[in-house]
Amino acid sequence: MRQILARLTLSCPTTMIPRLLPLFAILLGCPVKILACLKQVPDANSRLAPDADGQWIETDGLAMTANEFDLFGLELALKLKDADGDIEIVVVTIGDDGCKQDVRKALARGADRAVLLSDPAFAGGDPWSNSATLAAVAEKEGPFDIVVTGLQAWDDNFGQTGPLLAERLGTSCATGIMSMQVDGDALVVERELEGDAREVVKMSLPALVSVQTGAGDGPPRYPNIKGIMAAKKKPMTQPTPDELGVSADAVGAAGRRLEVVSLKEPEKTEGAEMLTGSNEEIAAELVRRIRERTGVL
Amino acid sequence: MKILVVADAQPDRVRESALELVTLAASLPGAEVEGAVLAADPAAAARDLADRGGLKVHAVADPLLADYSADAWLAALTALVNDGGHDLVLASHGPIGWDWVPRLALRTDGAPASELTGLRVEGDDVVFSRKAFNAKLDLDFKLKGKPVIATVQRGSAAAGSAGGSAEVVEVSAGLSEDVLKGRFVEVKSSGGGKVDLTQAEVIVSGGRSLGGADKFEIIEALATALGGQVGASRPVTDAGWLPPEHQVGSSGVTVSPKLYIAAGISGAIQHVVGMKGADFIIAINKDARAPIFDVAHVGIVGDLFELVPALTAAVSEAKGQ
Repeated sequence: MRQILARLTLSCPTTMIPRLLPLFAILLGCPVKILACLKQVPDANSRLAPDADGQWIETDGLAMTANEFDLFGLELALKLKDADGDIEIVVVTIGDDGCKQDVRKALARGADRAVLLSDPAFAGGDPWSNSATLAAVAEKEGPFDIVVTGLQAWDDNFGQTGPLLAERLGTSCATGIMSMQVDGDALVVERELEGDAREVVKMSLPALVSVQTGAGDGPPRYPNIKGIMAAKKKPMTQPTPDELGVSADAVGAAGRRLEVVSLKEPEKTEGAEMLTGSNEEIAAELVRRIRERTGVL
Repeated sequence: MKILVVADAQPDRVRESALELVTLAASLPGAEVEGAVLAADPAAAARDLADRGGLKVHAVADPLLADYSADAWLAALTALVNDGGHDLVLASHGPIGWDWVPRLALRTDGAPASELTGLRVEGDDVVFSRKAFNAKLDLDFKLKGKPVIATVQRGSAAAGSAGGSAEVVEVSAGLSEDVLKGRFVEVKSSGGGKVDLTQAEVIVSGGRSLGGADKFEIIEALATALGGQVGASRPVTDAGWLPPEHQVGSSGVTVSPKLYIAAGISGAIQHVVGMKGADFIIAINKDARAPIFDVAHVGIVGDLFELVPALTAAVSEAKGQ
């Protein structure tokens, strides 16, 4: 079926066909194809300091890990694949060879293949240029029915790359989702609202979802031994901008719209009055303060 | 500089956060501030924003704007911003704002910004401020591209007025069903809802450092001794140690109790915005550099597994007197 569709695309000059392909694929019962975006970020317990120029953080010697939001996103994709083994999941990461370990882990968890954008031209991007890079991958390696990103990355906390990527690809888009399921030619997701509420949205395919932490039931799975062994044989490509058909000016540092003025430690505010002493002494002092300040005792 | 404030609206009024945006916008030199309210019937909320914010408000009406839909909002706002020639568009940071703001920046070939805490003019540039790295560092930046479309952290300014004359301009968006790629189905509650932290006078919250659901016994014991409720930061509810209704913060509830005790919570901005309004805040953390100590009134660097039970004992004893 894929071959027939591929031939259909080749024989047809209009650029609309690739966009419509996922819909045909679903209607014709072709397996769903998912792109899962994964970013490497400093470990949450790291002690961070601005670099010498105050332009970004000092990364030398910093422990790096996969962004937790992205892992929840990958997990939602893997859950779809659990139910339908024909689903193909492609993992994409912008980063240097140091990201290979986290990419391999994603393959070990169950993704099928990976694209690592380690060419220096892709480095130093912001959400604007990184979404351009990811859009080029989606178009080159796709078409994809579903694109999954984290709601935000733990480092810059911008939360823009997913929606920007959706806009570049012209897909439907929902942010901060807690669950997703394929329903015929649609994707039904729950978006987290404030407090206790969730909004149910029925999205047309192709769709992009940005995933909130806590999505799915329980934490993202760990790779098992079988997965780790299998991951060694799974393909990982490292294309250049030329190979993706994207201008080096549009990606990485060259394609940024955001220019850092400064990254600094926060100015020390007055802050808390720090208490010291034995636990009993501190507890007695806290009781006194609570009585004095709140009247709840 | 022409600035558009897009309000989060309820049926007959705008949320206070919209007036915070007005304050920020009006603080820029030469600011010409306008507002926008999008709804099926935006008249009452637009009037509210115009009156309280002292500005001209576009009341953008369309049946497809009845429930939030990024596609419908984007279609309506793209037309409004392209026609209006705004330099800057501001919305509150939340599940609505963060959903459409970056996409409008791409549609208008501008630039996106998110979760701002402030902005100022330096020479010919606007410099934007926000937290990064989970509030551990302060980031200032400029943007290439106009208009800038931005979300602003709630509470970044006091609610205020632009001091101009109130005027409501009715706009019919004339949207076609074709723009809808995602369709609103329903809003539902995720679960229990038995706990209402917004009414609690005392909240004792635990964070990721607790390490497990069973470890919350010491937090519950202290909350019980103080006649209060148990709260949590996001990692706790994500891990399923407590149900979601216990979560305090930007994606949970905003609380303002008389007493808030944060145990093992580092103080990510998403948590802090939900509890900084408490009258008296006590923070316990093993890391002296944790940002929670910046918002707490009293802080202790120490082991919560020892200190919390000691405090529970002292509270029980004090009540017995």
